[in-house]
Amino acid sequence: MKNKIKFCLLTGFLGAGKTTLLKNLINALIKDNIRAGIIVNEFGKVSIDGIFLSEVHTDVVELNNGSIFCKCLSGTFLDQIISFSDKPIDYLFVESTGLADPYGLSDIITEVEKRTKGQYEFVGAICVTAADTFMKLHKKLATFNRQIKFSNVILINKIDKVVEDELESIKTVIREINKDAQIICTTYSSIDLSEFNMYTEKDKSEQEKLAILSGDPDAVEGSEFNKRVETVLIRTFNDKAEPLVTAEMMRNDEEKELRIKSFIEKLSEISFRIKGFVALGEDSSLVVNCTGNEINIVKQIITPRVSYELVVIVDNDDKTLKHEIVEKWENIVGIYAEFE
Amino acid sequence: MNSKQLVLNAIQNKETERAPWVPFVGCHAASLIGVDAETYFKDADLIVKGVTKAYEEYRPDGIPALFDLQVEAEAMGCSLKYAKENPPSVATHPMEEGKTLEDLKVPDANDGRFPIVLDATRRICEALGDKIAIYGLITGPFTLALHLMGSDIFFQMIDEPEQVHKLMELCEKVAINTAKMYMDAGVDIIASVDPMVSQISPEDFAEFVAPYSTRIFDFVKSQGKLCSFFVCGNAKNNIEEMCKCKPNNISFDENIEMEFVKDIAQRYEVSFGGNIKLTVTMLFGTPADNINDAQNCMNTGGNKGFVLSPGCDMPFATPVANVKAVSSLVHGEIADFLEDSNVLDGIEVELPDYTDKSKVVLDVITLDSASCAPCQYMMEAVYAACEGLENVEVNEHKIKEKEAVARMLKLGVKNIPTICIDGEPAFISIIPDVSTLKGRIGEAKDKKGLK
Repeated sequence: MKNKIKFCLLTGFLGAGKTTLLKNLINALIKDNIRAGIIVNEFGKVSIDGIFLSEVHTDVVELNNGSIFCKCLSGTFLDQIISFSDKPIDYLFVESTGLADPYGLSDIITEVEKRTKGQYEFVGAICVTAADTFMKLHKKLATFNRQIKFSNVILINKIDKVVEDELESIKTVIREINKDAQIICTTYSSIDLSEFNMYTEKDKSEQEKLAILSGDPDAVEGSEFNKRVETVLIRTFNDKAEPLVTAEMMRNDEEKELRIKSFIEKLSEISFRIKGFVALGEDSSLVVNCTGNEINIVKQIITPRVSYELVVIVDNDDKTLKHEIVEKWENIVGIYAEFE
Repeated sequence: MNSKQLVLNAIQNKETERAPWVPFVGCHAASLIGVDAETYFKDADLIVKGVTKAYEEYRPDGIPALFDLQVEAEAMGCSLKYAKENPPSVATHPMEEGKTLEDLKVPDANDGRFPIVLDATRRICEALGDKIAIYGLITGPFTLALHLMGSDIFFQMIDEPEQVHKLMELCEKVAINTAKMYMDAGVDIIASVDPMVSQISPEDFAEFVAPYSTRIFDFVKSQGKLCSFFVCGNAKNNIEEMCKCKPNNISFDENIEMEFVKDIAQRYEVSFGGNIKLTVTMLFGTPADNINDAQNCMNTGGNKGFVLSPGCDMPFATPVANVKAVSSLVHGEIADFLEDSNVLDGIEVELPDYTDKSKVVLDVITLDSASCAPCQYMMEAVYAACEGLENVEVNEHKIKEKEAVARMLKLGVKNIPTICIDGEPAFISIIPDVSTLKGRIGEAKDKKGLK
């Protein structure tokens, strides 16, 4: 089976050095025999980037009709991503305008996953900034700050144009907005692939990736990922505590299994991710691994433990969700549980 | 009250018997009549045909004559890139290409596509203007300024704020003149569509946008017409600033929660409209998703100063059935819609024997109590009323499931959510208080001689 296409977003204001970075990245990837496709979306700079990038012999598609993350244009953007899924590429870069709010990406990614049956894997976002214009944009452009917040890697380009103190102030600002992102300082968008955590750490946690894709960054204070999602830990007990329903209803493991599956199905409708174990009987448990609507539940023989944990990642915008999960668990499964 | 009056009242922040429905059909109208967006936007006959078709298909209470934020920019010298399934976009910015402020002039009825657009607007107003409210959409001054200057405007706001103010003054004049041309053509409401204000802070909004936008709205109101401030994208931080510009109405998309906007708007006595999700619901969702989303919007929006609409210009390829589903909800005809749209696939259901003396049966028809707020409250009321009662059976039927639709039709239920007691619709779209519901259940039990 074909490997998943790694999908990477590139943001940054006009003139920051996005296209140069892209060209550098692609040249470096070609050396590793890795092929990439590109979708370019620049506000009002028709064709220039596209022509420039085609020099590196890569599939380039231009989308110039406004910001691709604008809700009314998502359809076109989606079609383009899907059209790339048939091509022999390992990476798909989306170079997006400095005026695009990356938080609009989550709906599109969900739909892409649904339609391409998981042919893409979102690996993260790179934000290219230029040291000389950084502070101005930080002060004036809300989207600039949102792009920094959203990204895994922030490139500070053109560092030769500022003095040391200015560069330090820029780093401080970035850290205030996004303490977890990798910061790379450079000139001429020159980079070494091995510098990118995103590239070298092949298996960045699923949770982080999902976290990036969800939620409103302005919603809650706290650590970067916690701002975007809520993680609910359900600790279930293997018949140690009193069941909430009568013994008769739980008379056999099959009944219990059905109930748990039904619970997971319901839960998958409102969560991004569910992962963990639920005790079934004396010596078996269910291993749950769901992403979005894709449900994967396997029965496993294991040594019994006292408690089992199920991690559920939900949108933290919806404050009622946690309550809803508790209710669903009790109504459907009928086993005592604790929530953290 | 006719459709048009319904919109005008809602826009003026008055109570209405139901929320008016204003689908923002822009480039989507082209798909309705089977032409591409580029052809559509350049042809007055097609625009009239497309809007008329949308009127027939979607039975709206109001509709925009056109949704194209590039008309003014094109008439002022920006070149546009046209697309087959999207509105055109601005490709070049005159001030980036050496033009100065002095070179730019306020466009009149003969510039750019204005002759086409104004002709179409006039004909739409003549044909539909006595039945429904027609919106004239002008490009908001900040978005127009960005079209003219390019993204350099964000640097200029720091380096040469006076230049930005001068440009904004020009954009204000353009907006007022365009509004005047649309009002002369017969529109009822002027909407200043300024999505780019989502890019700036409230402080910059107050400095660079508010004075100009306020004067535009003052002008429209002085002409005896109504006005709305449209935004899209995450403009949450600017909602209050938008209200301070004193439009009659503000409209926003799914990036901002309706509760948040409602709270602020009502404080400023500004009406509000939105925000059915364009992507997840309208473009990618099912008819049931659309009913669900619109129901939630209507539940939050209420019946005072609220207009039900999509978050922004509807995507070209929005499935017609999705929009019709919303229309059916608005007009209280979900049952007919579902019956006509063949969702049943020939499924038959058998109703229980409601004359069974051993119990009282409550059937609650919902969209899904897990995702539809009014449905959730109704289910909570039902459970609370039934607590401790014997011989009462409660069933939730979610119309996401075909069996539930079939059951809904058999029970003669027209609206959602509805509680039926022993097969009779008892509470239709009204969530009863617990004691009222208890009383009704008690009556049903008495009838059957149950304790």
